[in-house]
Amino acid sequence: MTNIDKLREDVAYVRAATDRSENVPFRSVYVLWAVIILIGLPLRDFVDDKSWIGWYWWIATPVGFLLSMWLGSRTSARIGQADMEIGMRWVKHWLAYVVACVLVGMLVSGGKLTGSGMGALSVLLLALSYFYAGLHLDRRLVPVGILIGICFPIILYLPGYGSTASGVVIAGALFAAAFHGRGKSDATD
Amino acid sequence: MRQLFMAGVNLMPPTDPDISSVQELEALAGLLEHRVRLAICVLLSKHEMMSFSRLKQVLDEKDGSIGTHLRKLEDAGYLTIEKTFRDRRPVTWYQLTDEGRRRLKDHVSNLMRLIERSG
Repeated sequence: MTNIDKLREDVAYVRAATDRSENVPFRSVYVLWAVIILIGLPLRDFVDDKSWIGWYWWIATPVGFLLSMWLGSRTSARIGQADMEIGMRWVKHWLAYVVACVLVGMLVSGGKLTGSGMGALSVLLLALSYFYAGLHLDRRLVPVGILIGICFPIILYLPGYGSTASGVVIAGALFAAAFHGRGKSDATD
Repeated sequence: MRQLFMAGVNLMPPTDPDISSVQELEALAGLLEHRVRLAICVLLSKHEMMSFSRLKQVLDEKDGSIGTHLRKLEDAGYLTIEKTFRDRRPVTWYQLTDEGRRRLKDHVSNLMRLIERSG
């Protein structure tokens, strides 16, 4: 083996280690959102008073957001890897989604959009947010974003239990993302 | 690597087309020539802080081995340590110093230049 071969091998070793270090499974955060979605989306099919849907999301979104921050920092401390910069990237990403939803709410209050229109638009924004989170933060979220995008027309046009079916599929995708590539490091959270 | 040069051992076979100068290889000698120490510094440049057990897990090394490498880096001023407790158990956190970051940057740029030149 030449020196250059050895150096290449060393670089490959370092790269493999950095790849492993990036595999931080925020399992509890994904499970939390799977549960929130699993409850929230079927409301459209089962609740007569549609104002409950709005109330649910106005409460569940910020509470889920704060809980996610807490669970994320707890996971970082537990596995022994502190990444304030990456944590802030996650916060900014989802804060942008929350702000976008608030702005869509302004469309409703201004009479430019109906309540159900806001629900549909929020799902579309959610699909984009998960897809971009998959591209820039955690690859496991790419299929979740695609799946929500696929569910979007189902929620819009499928009569009956389209919203419930979508909730089950999206929650399933989040559970799969949570437990995909599970290693011994994350066995306890 | 440095010791081998000093002992007059030529690491380069005369027919090796990969390496053009001994000076470039010498630039890579030092603390970061060992891949575990290099990996520790790269990991700590990427992540703000890492615990002993996380480094051990990511690098897939034994306690003794990684402890020795960490001590060498700490003694050279490349790393700082911080001890905390979690669930009443001590946790040792490592962070790269400015000096460590500068040395790593120099080392990696030399390393990449050498590899690029070899094709």
